[in-house]
Amino acid sequence: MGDAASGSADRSVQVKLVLLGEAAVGKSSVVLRFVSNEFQPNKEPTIGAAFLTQKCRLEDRVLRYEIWDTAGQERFHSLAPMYYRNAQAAVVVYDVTKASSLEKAKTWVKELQRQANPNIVIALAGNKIDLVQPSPSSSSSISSPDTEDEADDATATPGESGAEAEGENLRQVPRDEAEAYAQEAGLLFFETSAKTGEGIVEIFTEIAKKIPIDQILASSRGGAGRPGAQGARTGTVQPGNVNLDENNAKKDGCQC
Amino acid sequence: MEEETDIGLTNLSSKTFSAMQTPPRRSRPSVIKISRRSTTPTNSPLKSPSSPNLFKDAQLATPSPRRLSRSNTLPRLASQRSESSNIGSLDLESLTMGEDKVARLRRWIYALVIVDFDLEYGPKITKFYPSLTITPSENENIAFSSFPDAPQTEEGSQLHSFRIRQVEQLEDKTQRPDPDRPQSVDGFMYGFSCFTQRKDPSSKRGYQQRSLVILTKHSYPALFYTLLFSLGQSFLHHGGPMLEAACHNIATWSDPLPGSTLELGFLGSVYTVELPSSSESPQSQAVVASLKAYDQDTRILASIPPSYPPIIAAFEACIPHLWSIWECLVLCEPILVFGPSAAMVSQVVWWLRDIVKPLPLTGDFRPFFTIHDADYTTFVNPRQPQSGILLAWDLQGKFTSRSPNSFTDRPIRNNKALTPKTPRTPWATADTSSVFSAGPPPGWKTKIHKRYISRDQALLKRCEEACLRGDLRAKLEASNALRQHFSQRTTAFLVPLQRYLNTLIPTPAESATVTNFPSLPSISTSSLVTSGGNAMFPPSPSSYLPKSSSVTSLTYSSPGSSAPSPTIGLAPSIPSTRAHTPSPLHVIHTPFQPGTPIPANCLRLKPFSTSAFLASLSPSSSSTTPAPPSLLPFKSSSKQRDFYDRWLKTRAFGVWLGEQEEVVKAVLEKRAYEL
Repeated sequence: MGDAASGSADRSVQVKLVLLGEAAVGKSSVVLRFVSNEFQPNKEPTIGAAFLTQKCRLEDRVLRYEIWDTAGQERFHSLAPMYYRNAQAAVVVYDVTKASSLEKAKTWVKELQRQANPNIVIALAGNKIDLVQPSPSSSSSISSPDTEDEADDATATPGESGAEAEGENLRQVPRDEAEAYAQEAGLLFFETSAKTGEGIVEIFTEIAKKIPIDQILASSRGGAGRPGAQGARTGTVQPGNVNLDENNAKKDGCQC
Repeated sequence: MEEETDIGLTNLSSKTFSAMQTPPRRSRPSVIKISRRSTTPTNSPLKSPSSPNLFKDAQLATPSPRRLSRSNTLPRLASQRSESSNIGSLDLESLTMGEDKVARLRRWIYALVIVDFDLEYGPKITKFYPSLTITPSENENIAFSSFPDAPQTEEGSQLHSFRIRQVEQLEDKTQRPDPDRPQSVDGFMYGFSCFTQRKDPSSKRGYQQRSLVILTKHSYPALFYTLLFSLGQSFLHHGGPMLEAACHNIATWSDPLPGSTLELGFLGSVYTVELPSSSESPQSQAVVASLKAYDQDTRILASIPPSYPPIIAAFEACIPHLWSIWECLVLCEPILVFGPSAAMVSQVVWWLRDIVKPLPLTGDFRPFFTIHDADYTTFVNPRQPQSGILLAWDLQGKFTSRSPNSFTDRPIRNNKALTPKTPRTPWATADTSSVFSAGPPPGWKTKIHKRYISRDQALLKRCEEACLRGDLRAKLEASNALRQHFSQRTTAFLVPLQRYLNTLIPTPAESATVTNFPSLPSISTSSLVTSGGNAMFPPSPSSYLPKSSSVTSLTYSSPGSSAPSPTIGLAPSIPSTRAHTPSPLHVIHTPFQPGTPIPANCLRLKPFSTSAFLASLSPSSSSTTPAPPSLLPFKSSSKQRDFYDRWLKTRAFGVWLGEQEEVVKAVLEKRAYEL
């Protein structure tokens, strides 16, 4: 009986998910939006990796995301394998206003595809689209942090001080380009804004749909260790199936 | 660096202990070999910087299903690091932590400590992270306790633990209380140390020796060994950022509430951890630990002793004597443990402490003790040793060189030693001039103790067979059975005492005007008698208590009435004295009316009478209720009587009785106030 989302832990499927990406692209903000539906400007940089959990319902299944939000700073880079080890899903985040962050994202994707679980579901997320949309109001109200290139500040966001939003002028990564790369590499693709919430739930919903839940259940029942440990089966990510239609995604979206 | 194989960190932790899972070699079984050849240059493909190949043995033992080639997509910084350049350089300078985060961290641990071997000074603390205010003597104590005394000849890591006294106040009393000063629970701090030795051409010794220590106020060995196992190896290869990552994880954990079950995220793994409801409450382990050491799938019972390697390996030379050792522990005999490594002796001490829970701790216990300890002269002197203390050494030659009685020519199976002594032979003063010897032969050295209680022959046989077969699973299962067996014996030991104590509680009739209070919950005899391998231990009495809502749902046995009244008796009832009063000493004051002040002496246990209790043990007692058969297989009823008589003279009894009185009083008063 009762609400499945609040049911006992063994009824939900544990999904280990890792967030990777350059410093200050908004990884922690994406997680915060997903887990608490909040946004904090000027978040301090993550140290090591933060651990958060979020339960979601997808159709008749309950998933429980165990989220490892890694630090983007270089000095923590070598720690990443600890966090993506046995992960079933990864969200690689870049900043649409910073071309170099997509390059960094690509190196993360390559590392994941070589070293992580072969079944891992990878999503590419271009964050901060609120900055490149011709939205009339919002962006000017936020106090702007310093904007050095390699800023440690997790929300260092270029261009916010330019009062009249230049819209597409701030965009350094065209959607088409990133999407084409994602297709080629077999990734889920989203453009998101942790600040407005756009696209955030969709990431986790689409990942949930792609996770081989039955395999996870089967392997964890067999006592073979935590779900991600199974490596025998090769699951190919099929980019053609990704549903980018927001309305459709929201229909059975995570209830968080 | 193009073509290299790499199993990746992905596989490391789960396979690390496959080296351990092979039967330990007879000659040198003591060191937990985590990485035997990790830095051997031969046969060593280029290390992957971002996921260093720490465990060559693991790779050999369990070949990775995947062999991956690495391209030049590695992170820039990481690819500049090489393993050799990591030795010594830790990136410790930039480590900081906000005040609020430090406060949250300190709920769980004081700090992480790095101790290095200084050629001129000896073990020396390099870093506290975050910084901690301690006295110079504490500093020295931590440094020396973090390093094994027994000479190390091999590369590799081992985990051991220590417990040292905390200085109550800083020497300079004019100072204000320092927030960075450790706030202890029991006056001690606990250290969990991962000692690593590896080749270092730049050192005069040719080796680098370093310990990474978790310093904490909590006596949760199973939890901290698991964390340290994960942290220790990654620290060797990632340096300072690992300390930051670890501490920031811990700072986000929920409060360590006694009795709670928590999900703790730590360095990419998630652990489900059960905390004990008090430091003395036993935690039962219904299922055998997973074969994988420190497996994150296993629920961690925080206060149980570390499960790896299986404890019977350490006791191999004295398994038949474990029943005597348990008796000595119960009777608060001081016990010395010697062994070939700090890792082994500290595990043994935690194990010994564990099997007599929930009996209160009356003496000090030191999982690893060194001559540099501030309390050294307190323990090691020509006088009789203090009762109840449990000391462990890994320097075998030192302590026993002057105690000829302690040497026996017991058959030696191998180099594992447990050589406890009873107090009748006063401990010898340590002879520091003596040369390191191979140490005493392993075994139980005490010839004075005569066992009161029969062994469990079936279990003894099972353990001996498990040792002979050398199969890890069999050893783990036998170790688990051994722990359950002795924990159940401890519980069974308390049954007659609980039963007698119940007769000392004012009956419902006696104080029905106050309330229908519960008496102490009796331990279900049937569950003990029929307890098989999976039986859970009955909860300790304290765990029943002050939760008032649950009180009525428990099974009580009151001597005067077969069942407690479920309703609160408001009408004054006639005070009755019980017919079968076992103790002539008790006085009952019950004639008061509702509304009148409650006599304080009515709300507590009646005095404990040794003679009445001992009489209650034997069936020939004049008591109207015949004594049920003992749950412990005493060799004779006089042995039973003697054993309890001895225990009643220990400090443990006094402490235990005091606790029971508190518990009973609290419940009675609570019920009275509720009325």
